[in-house]
Amino acid sequence: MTTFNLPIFPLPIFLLPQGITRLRIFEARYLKMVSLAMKNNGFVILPNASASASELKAIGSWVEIIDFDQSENGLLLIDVRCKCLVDVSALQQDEKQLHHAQVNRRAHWSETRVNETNDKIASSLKQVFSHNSELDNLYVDKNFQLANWVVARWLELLPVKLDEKNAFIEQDSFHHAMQFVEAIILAEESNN
Amino acid sequence: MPSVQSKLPSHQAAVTPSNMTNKIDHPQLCQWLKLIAVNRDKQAFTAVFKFFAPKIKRIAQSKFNNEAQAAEVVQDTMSNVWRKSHLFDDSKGAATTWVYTIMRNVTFDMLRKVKANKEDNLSDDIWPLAESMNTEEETFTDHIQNRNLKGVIETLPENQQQVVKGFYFLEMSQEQLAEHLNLPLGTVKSRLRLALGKLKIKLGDHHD
Repeated sequence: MTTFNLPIFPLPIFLLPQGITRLRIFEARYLKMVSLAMKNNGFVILPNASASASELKAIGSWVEIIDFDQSENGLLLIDVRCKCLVDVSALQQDEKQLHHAQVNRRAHWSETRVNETNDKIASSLKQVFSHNSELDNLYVDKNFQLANWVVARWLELLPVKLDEKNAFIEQDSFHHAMQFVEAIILAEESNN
Repeated sequence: MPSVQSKLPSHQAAVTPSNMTNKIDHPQLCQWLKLIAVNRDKQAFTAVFKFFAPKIKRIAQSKFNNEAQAAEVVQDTMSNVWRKSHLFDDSKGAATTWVYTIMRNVTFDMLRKVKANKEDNLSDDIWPLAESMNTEEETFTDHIQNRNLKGVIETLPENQQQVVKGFYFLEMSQEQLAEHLNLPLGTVKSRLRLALGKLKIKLGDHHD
């Protein structure tokens, strides 16, 4: 399996493949990270970085920078899209205190097209996007017709603790994820 | 390609020091805190923020000698002020004393974390962002109130937002979700609890 060495950005957010978010970057070491990421292969957002210092393995979101801008007072804003989840190992710190690690691609259910979608879940998500221009503008392509995309975006948005969302990182957790989103949005559960 | 590294962030005066600092208007501060507690008044919070943020930042900078951490102290202190304003009791002391006590606790917590992290061979001050995960251990109620802060922050002038906002807001608040689903907040909270409960049962075996 191919191993990549990528810079690590410790940030407690839940971002699944194809998920997009905007980050503000101001520390010098992370500005360096961005410049490395632009030249090479992106970077990895690692939500539980403290834990991974003691454990040997952790899971992160490998992201690519898709857009950037500078705010009026000089903060760098970058939009990143998750290309896949990765297993992270062998964290090391460089002279600028930036971390790098070995990463291996990790398959996830959100990468498998699921055409039959629950219309209510999809239309409810569509409404969230239409009411939230910040979110809407981040996504050029919106795949409301794909259940895998819809469920993944809902999981990112729902106000649930990161630890609990982590259950849906498992490759085969799509049905749990779908039922979970339905239980919250529709207060009902699909048949298994 | 535009140079993205052209400038380090200029944290120039996030908040301009007020000329009124030589005379602190205590009754006014108390009133603002009450407005925050009772009405969740955003303008009052903005006023309290303007008053305290530069002072807290100055003190924190002298403790940490690190701008990012000083900004974090401001952020944590002010979010605690927002969340805990109902606990302020003006019969027990001045508003300034109350806020500085919160700041002191935030600072101590942070120093403790820095120290604890040094004991890991991997980290000194390097995971400031990951630290915020610890706050997730708090109850749902706190979680909502934290998220409420976003609305308040939006009303602050841009340069103050930068300090408070830090990095990202991806998730919805419970209130936003309730509004979106057109349901009372209580219903949404119980749905979330229920859904998590079901999930835990299903995942039962993985659970420690």
